[in-house]
Amino acid sequence: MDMLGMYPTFYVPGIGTAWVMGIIGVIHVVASHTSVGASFLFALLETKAYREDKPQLMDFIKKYGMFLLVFSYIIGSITGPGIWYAITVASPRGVGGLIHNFVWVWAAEWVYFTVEVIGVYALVYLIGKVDAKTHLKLTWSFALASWATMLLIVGILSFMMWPGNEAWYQTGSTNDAFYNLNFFAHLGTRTGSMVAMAAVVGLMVASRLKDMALRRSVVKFLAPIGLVGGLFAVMMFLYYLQTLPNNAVVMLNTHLLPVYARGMVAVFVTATLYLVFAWWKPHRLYTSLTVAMFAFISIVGVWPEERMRESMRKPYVAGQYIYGNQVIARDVPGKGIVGEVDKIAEHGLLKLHPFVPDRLRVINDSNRLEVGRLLTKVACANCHSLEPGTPLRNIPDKFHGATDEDLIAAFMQGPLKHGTQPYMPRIDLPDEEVRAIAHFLATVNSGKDVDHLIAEQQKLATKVAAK
Amino acid sequence: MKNIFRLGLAALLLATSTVQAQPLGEPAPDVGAGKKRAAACFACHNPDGIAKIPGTPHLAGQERGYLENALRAYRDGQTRQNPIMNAMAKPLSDRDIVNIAAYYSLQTRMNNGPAR
Repeated sequence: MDMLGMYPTFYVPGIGTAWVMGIIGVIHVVASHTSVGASFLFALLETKAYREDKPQLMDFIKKYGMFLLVFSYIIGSITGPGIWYAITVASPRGVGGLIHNFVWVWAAEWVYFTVEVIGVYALVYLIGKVDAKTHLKLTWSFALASWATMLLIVGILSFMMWPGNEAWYQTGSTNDAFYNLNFFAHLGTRTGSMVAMAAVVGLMVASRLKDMALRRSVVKFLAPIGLVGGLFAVMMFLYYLQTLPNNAVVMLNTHLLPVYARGMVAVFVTATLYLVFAWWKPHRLYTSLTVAMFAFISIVGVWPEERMRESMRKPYVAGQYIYGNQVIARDVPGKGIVGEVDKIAEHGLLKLHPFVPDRLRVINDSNRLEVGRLLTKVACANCHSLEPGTPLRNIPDKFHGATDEDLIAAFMQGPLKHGTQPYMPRIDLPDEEVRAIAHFLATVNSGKDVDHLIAEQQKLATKVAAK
Repeated sequence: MKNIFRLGLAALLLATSTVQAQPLGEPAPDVGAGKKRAAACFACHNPDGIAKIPGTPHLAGQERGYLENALRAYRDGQTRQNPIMNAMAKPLSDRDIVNIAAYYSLQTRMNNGPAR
């Protein structure tokens, strides 16, 4: 029998590989959005300096550019490859699917990224060394290259949510994937928020300026741009919500908005008030306050936003054809991809998964618990941690501590088998695999130390084998 | 002291009224056992009986007899056919059904917004 193209499952207790990826991702988004937003602020500010012949504004650009080089670019360049490492481990087939769609888009993104990185060095170190007009052209090239990296990555990220049309499944074309239903809304949201974030970081840098006249002119320039960016981001976000698939809308209404809506409104209101205040009283701009504001936006704004986008996409990891648990959910004729759910229902994961240890391929009384743990990790742990009380939508809490094996199994043979919960994948397994998972979950829910129990059983099994 | 007395009186009253609602010869439903047994049901119907997934009914305050009949019909799989509920009701005993129905029927829908 042909094995499925599955990879080993990595498991991080409590937070899962999902949060590892999420934490790296949020740091990356904060750094990269700031630098892309800043590139536009530079270009606009330098245009003003050039037209009004105010070369002193270039001092600010140099300071901010240096700050970006030291913080954003270094942090961004470390976390970018960090995301690659993390997603390859967490979601190998999801990444594989994206590469098979977007390999040239990523190649193009890296070309622009190279231009961006060289651009920021040139921009900072060539101030005063080349004529003003050449420098201005350089800064605009830097800004456009920066935004191009965002535009290209957003096409990929928004395809992950869904193509939004049937065409891609039939053609497999990169264009059908890239220009998906929520591409423009997503791009607009990020473009607006990157400008707002860059304006706040700009105020952070401006607060260090000793020359009050310069500070005033910089702040009066940055604050309104930040306000417009923030407003634009909110409007585009509302549009974005209209471009989501049904599973995302259900997830949003049932689980996400009740938790995050207040924080998001708070971020918008606080950031707006802060920018208006800075605009009004530039000399009252304290560095500590600006740093706190930026931390607030990152933690209460960016983290929930990224978390929501990742959660809403469930049960899929990409394009509504790969489930979070790496199983192919449906046929994609355009790519020659065949759905796997029914095949798994017929033969079971134990027979089809290439990385199941041989001693666990057949269930018996002495390995049921261990097989249950393995199957639960394979089928569930990409989105759910297994320890009660832990943050990644842990299963014991989702089951409200149910200790009845028969009812846990019933849940798997009813809703899960038929895929009736909008944000859960269709998981259809042979009876004995269902019973192994139910046995494991019931044991965990009853508060027993499963790892210890399994170790005992293994010891016993080796003893019996030795005799 | 007076409060405790009042509380005891109220509890007694409540207890007798539940017992009275029972048909003769059947033991009173065990709401706690019903809640424990229903834990897997909460994934869709929630512990407070107010469902959030579209198309899933609220069970809070639903008529007890109706809930019992529905669960029995789902369990036998003939009179009511539904791939989700037939599977969920299959392992339930008669006692489970009485207890779970009691658990959900005793809830109120107050302060939970209008039913969908």
